Amino acid sequence: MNYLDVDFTTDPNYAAGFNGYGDTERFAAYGDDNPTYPKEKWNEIAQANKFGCDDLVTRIYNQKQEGSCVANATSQAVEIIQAKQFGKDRVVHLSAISLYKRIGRSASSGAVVSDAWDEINAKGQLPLNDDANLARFKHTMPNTGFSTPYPSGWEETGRLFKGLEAFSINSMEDGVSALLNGHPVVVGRSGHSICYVRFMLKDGKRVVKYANSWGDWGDAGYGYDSEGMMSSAFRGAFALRAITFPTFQK
Amino acid sequence: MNPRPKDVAVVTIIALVILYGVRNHGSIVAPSGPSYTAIVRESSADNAAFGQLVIGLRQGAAAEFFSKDGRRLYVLDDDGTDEAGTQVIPADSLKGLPLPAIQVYSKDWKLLNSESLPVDASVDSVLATSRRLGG
Repeated sequence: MNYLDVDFTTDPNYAAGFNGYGDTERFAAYGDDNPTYPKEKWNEIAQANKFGCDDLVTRIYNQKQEGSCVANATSQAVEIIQAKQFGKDRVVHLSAISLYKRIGRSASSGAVVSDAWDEINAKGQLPLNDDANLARFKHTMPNTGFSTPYPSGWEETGRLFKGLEAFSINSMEDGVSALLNGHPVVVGRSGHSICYVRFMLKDGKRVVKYANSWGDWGDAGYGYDSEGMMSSAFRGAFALRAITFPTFQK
Repeated sequence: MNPRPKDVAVVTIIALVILYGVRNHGSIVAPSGPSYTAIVRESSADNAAFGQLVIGLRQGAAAEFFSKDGRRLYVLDDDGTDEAGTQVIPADSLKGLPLPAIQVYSKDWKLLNSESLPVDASVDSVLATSRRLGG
């Protein structure tokens, strides 16, 4: 299988950016407020599932050479929940740098995952400065460019894109269950953060599919982690369940 | 003068249609024009089957249906809020309605109809229910 258990650190796209999970212990645990499944049920549910969160992905991010993977993976998760709540045709593409600037110290410093959740929960983030968003929103930003200043009064637009419900993932059972239930999981490993989108069986083996943020990389932007790799990633990750319903979506 | 049997039949059919409409839609005529369908659920009940339903509704013909002619489909938590922290779905509209539920709103967000959704609802059954409720 191609792109399985990729060693990110040897890839030319790699820029160290995952500095650990931070304090996700203070989040509610996924299993405390969501249905979970024992290991012996995973294959059966995975085989019955026709869809995964990858069916809600509307674009693959590209962080370029900045250490903003945590912000890119988190933004991907937010876009997936947008697609779920409002429809793929109503997804507003987001600016990862508008999040990363608040959780990283420099273009290459990297960030911790819990900070990303704290920021999207508290202040949200800005839309990407594509043509559609420029015509629609007062404040936008590019996806990359740590030195880009925030537009004045950006918080007014940022709060339209806030996260509402996230849960810590600290076990295989919670992580796999989140994916089987259709909740994206922001994880990190090997110095890089990615967004897990689907638990599946591939060539008879349990794998997880993830959306990377390296543009046209891997399997059309995606890679796969084996059961062993995902077990190390499910230690302080978070699953996103709900975001704000902004009035402009009405 | 006695009514002709044909007239009686026509009147009876019209009456039955009206009764059916009132009973199933809460009004005689399903509204025309754009409408918004909301699937409202308690998000802590999101299980694998519900996840499949929601993602399935965002694919292919279902996604096309809900984006055509001004229609929209929302999947919302019962206590989901907007950016000001205001609850999106009025709590009154959910009173006595077991979740998950399907609600159909007019374009100006007046609730037209709502009913509970079976926990094992399929994409096709949601489409049919939405249509029946005026979506």
